[in-house]
Amino acid sequence: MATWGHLGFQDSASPLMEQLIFFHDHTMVVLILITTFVGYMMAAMFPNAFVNRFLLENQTIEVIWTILPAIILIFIALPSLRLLYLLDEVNNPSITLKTIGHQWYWSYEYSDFLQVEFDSYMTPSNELDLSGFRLLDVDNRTVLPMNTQVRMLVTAADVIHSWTVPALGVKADAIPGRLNQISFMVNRPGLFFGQCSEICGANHSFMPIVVESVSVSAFLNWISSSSDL
Amino acid sequence: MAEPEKETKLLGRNLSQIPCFRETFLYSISSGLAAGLINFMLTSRVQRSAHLAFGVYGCVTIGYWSFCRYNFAKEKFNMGRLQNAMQKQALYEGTDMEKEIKRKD
Repeated sequence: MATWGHLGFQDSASPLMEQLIFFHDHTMVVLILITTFVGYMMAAMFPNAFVNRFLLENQTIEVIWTILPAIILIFIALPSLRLLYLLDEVNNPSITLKTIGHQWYWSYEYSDFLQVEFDSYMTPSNELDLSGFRLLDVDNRTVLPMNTQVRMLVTAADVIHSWTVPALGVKADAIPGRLNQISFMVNRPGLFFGQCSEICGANHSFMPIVVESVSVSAFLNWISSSSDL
Repeated sequence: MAEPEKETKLLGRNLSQIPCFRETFLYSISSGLAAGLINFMLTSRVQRSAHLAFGVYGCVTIGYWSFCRYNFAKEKFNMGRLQNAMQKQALYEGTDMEKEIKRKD
């Protein structure tokens, strides 16, 4: 989860997020190269006292500094397009979860087999445990099985919200009257946090999302115990 | 439990955890330095040696990074397939599916 002074991505919990981080690292190396090259050129020119009185229309250098950036951009574009199409690949989800954004909480519906529905409100700071995460913990977490393809259908009941979990690399706007579909797979157990990402009123900052990833057997136990309530 | 190795962090990312990053910059910086030094010893031209050092650094960075990441991606893909096969093997062991797969092989 995000902690104080956290500048980069959170550790990935999904294969797609892992690929996004790899692409980020690759692009960052290219950018480091370009920046150091430009910095070096500037440093090399500072002590240069010569002035070229006939500096006009040098075709060779113009060609070089057009072709070279194009080649560098190809190095960035090819992994980018691969990732873009990878994110939209068709897969067969094993479980469908519906989430509805309200002012100011999320409600979840697991309607695949047993009708399980619950609301997820942020735990107020004055009711928080000493070990709790302020403004991130919720009363009912979204439990999902590990290593299982999940289909999320996101919508809203009143105004536009946005459901996101950065560690899974997913974000989808929750728009009233519209169903947005996202697909992901959590490949390790744990708690993954997110926050509403579309301004939705006074308590927009106080409707977090917590995904609890557990083993398939633990998930089935939880689902059967939840449906009894 | 304390971390035995000191983590190198830049902008919140642990650089040692980025695949191929450490090797790429180790090789590129050292080869750039070596090329620049050798060129200076042979020609005694400071500026040209510096340009050469930087050029070699840039080329080795982008070349080794692409090569290393490509191999990493291939290995990762193969490991995933192997893992998948091992999981399926445990699932199918002792069943008719296993007999069918062995017959096909």
